[in-house]
Amino acid sequence: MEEQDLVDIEVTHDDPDNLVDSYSSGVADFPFHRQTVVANRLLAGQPDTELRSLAGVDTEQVKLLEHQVDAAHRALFDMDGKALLADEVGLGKTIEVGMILKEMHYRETDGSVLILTPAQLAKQWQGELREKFGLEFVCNYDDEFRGFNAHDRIIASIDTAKSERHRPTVLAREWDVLVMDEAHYVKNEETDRYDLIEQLTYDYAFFLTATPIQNELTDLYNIVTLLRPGLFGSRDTFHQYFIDSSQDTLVNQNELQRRLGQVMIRNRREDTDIDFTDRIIETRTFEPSIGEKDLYDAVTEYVRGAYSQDSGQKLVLMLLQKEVVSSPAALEGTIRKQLDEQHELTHRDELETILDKIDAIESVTKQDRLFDIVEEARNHVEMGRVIVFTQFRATQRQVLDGLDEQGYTTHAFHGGHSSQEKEEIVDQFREEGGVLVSTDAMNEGRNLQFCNIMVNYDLPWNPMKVEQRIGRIHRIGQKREVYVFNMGLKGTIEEYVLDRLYHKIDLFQQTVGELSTILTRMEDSGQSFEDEIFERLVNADSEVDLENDFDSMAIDLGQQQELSQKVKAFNNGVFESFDLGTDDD
Amino acid sequence: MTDVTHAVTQSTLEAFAREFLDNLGATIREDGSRWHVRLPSHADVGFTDVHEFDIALDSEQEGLEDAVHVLTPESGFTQQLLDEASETAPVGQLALTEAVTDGIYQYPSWTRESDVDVVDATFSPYYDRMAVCVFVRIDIETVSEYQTQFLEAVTVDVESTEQLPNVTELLVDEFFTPGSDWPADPAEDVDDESGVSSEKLNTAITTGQKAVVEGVRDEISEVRQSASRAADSEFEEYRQLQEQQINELQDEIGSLSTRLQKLSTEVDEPESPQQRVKALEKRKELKTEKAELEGELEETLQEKSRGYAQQQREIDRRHAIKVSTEPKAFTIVLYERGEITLELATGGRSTAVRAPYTVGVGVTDDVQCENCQKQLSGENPIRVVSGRICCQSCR
Repeated sequence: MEEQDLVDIEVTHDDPDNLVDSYSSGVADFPFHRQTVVANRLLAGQPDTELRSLAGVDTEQVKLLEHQVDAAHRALFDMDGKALLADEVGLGKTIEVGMILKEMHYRETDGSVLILTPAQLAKQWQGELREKFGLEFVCNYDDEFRGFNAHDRIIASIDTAKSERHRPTVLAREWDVLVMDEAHYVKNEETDRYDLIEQLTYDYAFFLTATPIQNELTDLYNIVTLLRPGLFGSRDTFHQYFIDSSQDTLVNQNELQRRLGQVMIRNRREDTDIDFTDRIIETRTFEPSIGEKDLYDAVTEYVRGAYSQDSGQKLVLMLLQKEVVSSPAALEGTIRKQLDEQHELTHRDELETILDKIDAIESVTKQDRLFDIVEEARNHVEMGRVIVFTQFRATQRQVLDGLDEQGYTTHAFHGGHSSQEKEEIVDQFREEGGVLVSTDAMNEGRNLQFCNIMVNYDLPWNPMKVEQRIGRIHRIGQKREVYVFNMGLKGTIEEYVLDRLYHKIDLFQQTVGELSTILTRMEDSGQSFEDEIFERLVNADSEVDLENDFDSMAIDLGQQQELSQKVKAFNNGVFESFDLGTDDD
Repeated sequence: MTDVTHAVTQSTLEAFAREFLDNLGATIREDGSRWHVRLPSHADVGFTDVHEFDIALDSEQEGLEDAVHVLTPESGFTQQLLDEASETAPVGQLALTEAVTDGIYQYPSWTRESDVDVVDATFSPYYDRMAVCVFVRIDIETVSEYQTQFLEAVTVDVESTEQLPNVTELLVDEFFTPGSDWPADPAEDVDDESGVSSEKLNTAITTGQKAVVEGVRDEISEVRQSASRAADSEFEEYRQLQEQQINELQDEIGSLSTRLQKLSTEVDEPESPQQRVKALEKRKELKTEKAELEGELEETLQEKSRGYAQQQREIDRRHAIKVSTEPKAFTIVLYERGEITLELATGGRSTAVRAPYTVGVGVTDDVQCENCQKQLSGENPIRVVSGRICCQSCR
């Protein structure tokens, strides 16, 4: 090749200042210096295609599985840092990317990294990369986020990145690494999302999806073309060559497989040795006391009335509705705050009545029934370990007080603790056993497989949060059956959410990660799960109406679920005959 | 500059680990392929927080407990050990003295290639010089080949910034070879007063960094060739894609033209006024579509006529090679300069010759024949005729 046809070479020399400073602060004894030089010689003598950072992964935090290590290795070294990671759901694609990023960090090839995810997963990514791999990223939802040109490691929702405000800065930068979660978001070449990714400049890219094909094979073409433009030729060529349009079936499969093998890795559940233990769900609903029923009705009536007058108060009203089924203590805090903050409150009387009704409650039914579960655990499970989840700090305090009074060993976990404190709390829970009462601040990275009993003291209206709670203990590495207890008060919104919605979509038995594909579909069409529930609750004219409304929502959900199962089955069908394993280089 | 990467074999690793633990003051009790290690209480290491542990020299051992560290080339423990050691003491110093070279001198080519024998040699040191042997990591990166790394060493005199390749080789062989003994107390003769300024140090190291890139010129060239090929094939993929798109656009435009012609007939000879309006609307729509496609085709054809130069530049830019150097450690080397006296013998006669000499480097300057003043060299070696020194060229 002629000199003018060769690519350019850019040479940079790191400043030796640090080393020179080391000299100023003293020279080491020769044996130690020799050891350092020899160690550097040996490090340099390792093969270049080895995941060197593996030793630095904290195996307490993450158990790396063979297929994950293999995928990370192939993505980096066989696919030259451009790969579509298309493992089936629940096999740990995030872990694979974590390993890739850790290795790139170790080798200092990750000057700037942009991770694009669906909005609801951004914080989860941040937590996982921090806890499991020690990698710090700024998320666009963090207070400290100052824009896409202000940080070198960013996790952002793809919609934020493509927004008019941020798009110019996202595109102005040359990113070293781009990661895109749920890559099927960019399956359609006519969307702004696709356009953004197509225009981004980056050296290495890792796209993740369990279902590269959402509707048709063109989806696969579009995603792969973003990673490797030209690999499949033009869209028409792809269609002519790989799709029998009369039958709408695949042709030239071997060639398609050969080309896909250059860029895509797909592990299937049955090819791995992951063995998920059983999950046993027990939903316990209790008759509320007269006082509790009275309080619930008063709050619901108040919420309906206030919302019909001023829908701007939606968030606080939704909060009240959630709190009333969590605990009187949680409710009391918000009511008092309302009364204190707004002197000219139109509903002062109603709120004061609610306070009176809270005062009238002598014993909290859920709390009493919680003791039964905890006691069973104490008698049957190692060190009586139980995790109780609640959404509210006030409920958490009340539950903790109750358990303390009964003489149980307790631990509190909430968002107000520092990372160090959180670590210590989990350690103490592991060592001392007893009951850990946690808010939903318990993030993805926490490793709690040593416990196998979980109680949903109250239920988030966002099923992802429920799944995340369960995922804390029912995950790779859990060796025992997992028991999930759901607590709910009869005749309340909780019962509807539990019975009509969560059980209908079989929420409590969803494989880890599967739910996001259902919800992503739903939320992609502009619906928020929480809003849907709230709107139904406040707009129902009668109990029958409410039941019907929830039934229709369940049907919608069921349809989304069916669709996502169809997509999954379709992908499995397409890739079934494909060997995209390690030996097809 | 010298390539100092060293293969990671089991025996090398064991020797390294033993030395590492010895330096910490640990005791090692060997039991087959197990080491029972006890660290002194003051020892502080990153890989464990206990002071007694076992090391297995074979990952296949049965019943390996979690707490046992496995020392094999691929193990995580090995990586941790090397990582930790590689940063412990990046700066050291030593003195290259006759004691180190053990009285073994590097004779010049003009005696090695000669019939005369060197029967004795003595070195008279005149003054000390200072050099820095710097160990530099070189990373070569390009998007088509993830990363290649090297470790090169180069020794640079801190005053003259002259490179001293023989010194580098001597140091690497004598002091920094894993598993080998090294001369005792190499820093003993380094005078505490003999410091070097940060500025000079900085210059010497930077000179070394620049020099080592030359040392991997062939490797860089190889990566550059393959990166250029990768860029070429990416560009070729792009070019083909564009060709396909041009054909497809032309086909589509052709088919639109045919449809427009048909529509023209419908417009000119409508069956009803409604059909005419419909046909007019459709014609407008198709015309717009055709104009868009023609615009797109025109743009692509223009790009083609320019040889897709912009895209090629973009691809080449992305595939460009990034070479970066990072000094990982350096050794201050005090070395002696002076004069060597070589006793030469041939045919029962002997005589002596003197030459400027540096320990570890050898004869440093050119030496002329005393008889004819020609420069001595391997091609023009020294001779002794009737007890007089002359050279091959002397008549």
